[in-house]
Amino acid sequence: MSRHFRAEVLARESLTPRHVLLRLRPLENSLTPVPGQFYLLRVSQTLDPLLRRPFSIFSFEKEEISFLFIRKGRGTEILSNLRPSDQIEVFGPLGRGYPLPEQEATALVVAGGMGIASLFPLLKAIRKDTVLIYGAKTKSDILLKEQLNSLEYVKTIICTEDGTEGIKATVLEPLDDLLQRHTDKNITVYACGPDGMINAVKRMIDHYSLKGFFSLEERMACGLGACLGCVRKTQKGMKRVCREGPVFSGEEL
Amino acid sequence: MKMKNPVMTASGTFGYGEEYSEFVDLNSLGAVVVKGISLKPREGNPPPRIWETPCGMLNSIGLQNVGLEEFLKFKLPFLRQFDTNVVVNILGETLEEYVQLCEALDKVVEAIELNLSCPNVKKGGILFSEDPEIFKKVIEESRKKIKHSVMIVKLSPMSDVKKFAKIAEQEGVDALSLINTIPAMAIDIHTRRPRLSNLVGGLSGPAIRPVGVKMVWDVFSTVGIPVIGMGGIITGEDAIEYILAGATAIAVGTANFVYPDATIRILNGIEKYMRLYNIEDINSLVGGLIWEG
Repeated sequence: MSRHFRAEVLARESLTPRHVLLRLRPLENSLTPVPGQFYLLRVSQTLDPLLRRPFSIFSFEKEEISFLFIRKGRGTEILSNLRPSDQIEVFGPLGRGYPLPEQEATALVVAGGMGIASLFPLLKAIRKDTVLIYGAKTKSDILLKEQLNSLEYVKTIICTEDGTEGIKATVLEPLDDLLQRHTDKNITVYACGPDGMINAVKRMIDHYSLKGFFSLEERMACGLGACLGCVRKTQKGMKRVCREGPVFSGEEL
Repeated sequence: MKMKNPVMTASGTFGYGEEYSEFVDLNSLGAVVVKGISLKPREGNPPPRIWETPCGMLNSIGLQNVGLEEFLKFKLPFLRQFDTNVVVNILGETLEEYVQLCEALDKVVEAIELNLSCPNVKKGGILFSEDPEIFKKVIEESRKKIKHSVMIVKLSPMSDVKKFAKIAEQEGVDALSLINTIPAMAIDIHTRRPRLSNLVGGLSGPAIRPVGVKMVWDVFSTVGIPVIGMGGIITGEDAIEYILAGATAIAVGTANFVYPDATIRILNGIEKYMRLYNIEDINSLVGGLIWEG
């Protein structure tokens, strides 16, 4: 069992022209990740681009491990051109994932844009009534509608900034609405999305005195906590997103 | 300092050894050079701290580290479980801090590497490596406190390395290591803002290797003390290149981020080269560049 292994590309699916699902088959025994953990993928066989790219785990089965990402830069461009049977070096699982909600607690999941990639395996793992608030800029950025519908415990509220899908709002409006109406305060909030959203959700759960877990994103080099390249300032000083994170509790942030 | 092989780690790229022990048998390394240690813990620079560049990367970590006390209490005992040399890279903000660090670490670790040239931290607007008088003074005072450990001085590629190497040799330094990262910048043209919060960072990775090889050759040709070569070594072949240029040992830096087992890959690559040319003693290759100049 190693956290550093080779994998073969099973398929590269385009969910939209910009969103790619990369499905891999590990060629060696690999460790089972928990939702929220991430992997570093070596994108090039050459030295340019040099560094691996971090992706949170999207799904993990015995013979398959997959990542959902958006084509954004050189690394994701190269990855989205991989073909079945191509081989790739995979390094992970790394970091700390999402802890599951406690027995009595209700989970409220807030996904902004690509944040859904990290939260989707959590939604599958929770297995009890959960509300998902899923926001994006526009209709074409809302992914996995069918898969989300098939999760029987999950009630999804979709919102888009331009109102082309679901309600016309950011995730904050339905979130505030829900928290105001909810008298039961034993709610655990999980959030992944852009920094602005994370900060706003964090302020909101502090206001309602709720427990929360947030997954952060940062540029990374080693993934092991050695280079100190991916730190974020927290209540307890600089913390490494790759090691103490990527999932941080509300108290830590 | 006896080393079982010439492969070391470059300071700041291998944490305190523990981070990589899952992928690298630390017993198999010539030496582990730990993240630079200061007298007190340092928080470092705000993010973003890294930016990838062609065949390289910029970093401006700002010398975040746990400080001397925690290093001695928690980090060093872990490394002591392994049969390898421990080298501590030290950084001070003042001459006195260097002296105190040397005093505290002498005999405790096999070697002390003076970092006088981190491009990410400046005190009073000047690096210790920029002014020959200050450079000499820090070495002179530190030398008095290092009685048992090996004393290494890390050289900046921004200085006249031959001149500074000579000063170090005259002051009784045991070995030189080079090159440190090269000060560099990158700009986001859409926001017109720097890629690093610190504006400037240190460039490392294969992009700087030819610069490092040249400077190792310059220093090897100038002084008689051993040289530790580093800068963009990714493979065993890269390491051999440095050794031929005059490096007695080599350090692996950014490669650790590309391959967690980079040090072992490089070690194997060196052995492969030695088998190919029937070389029994790696030291016979040091400075073995053939040039009719």
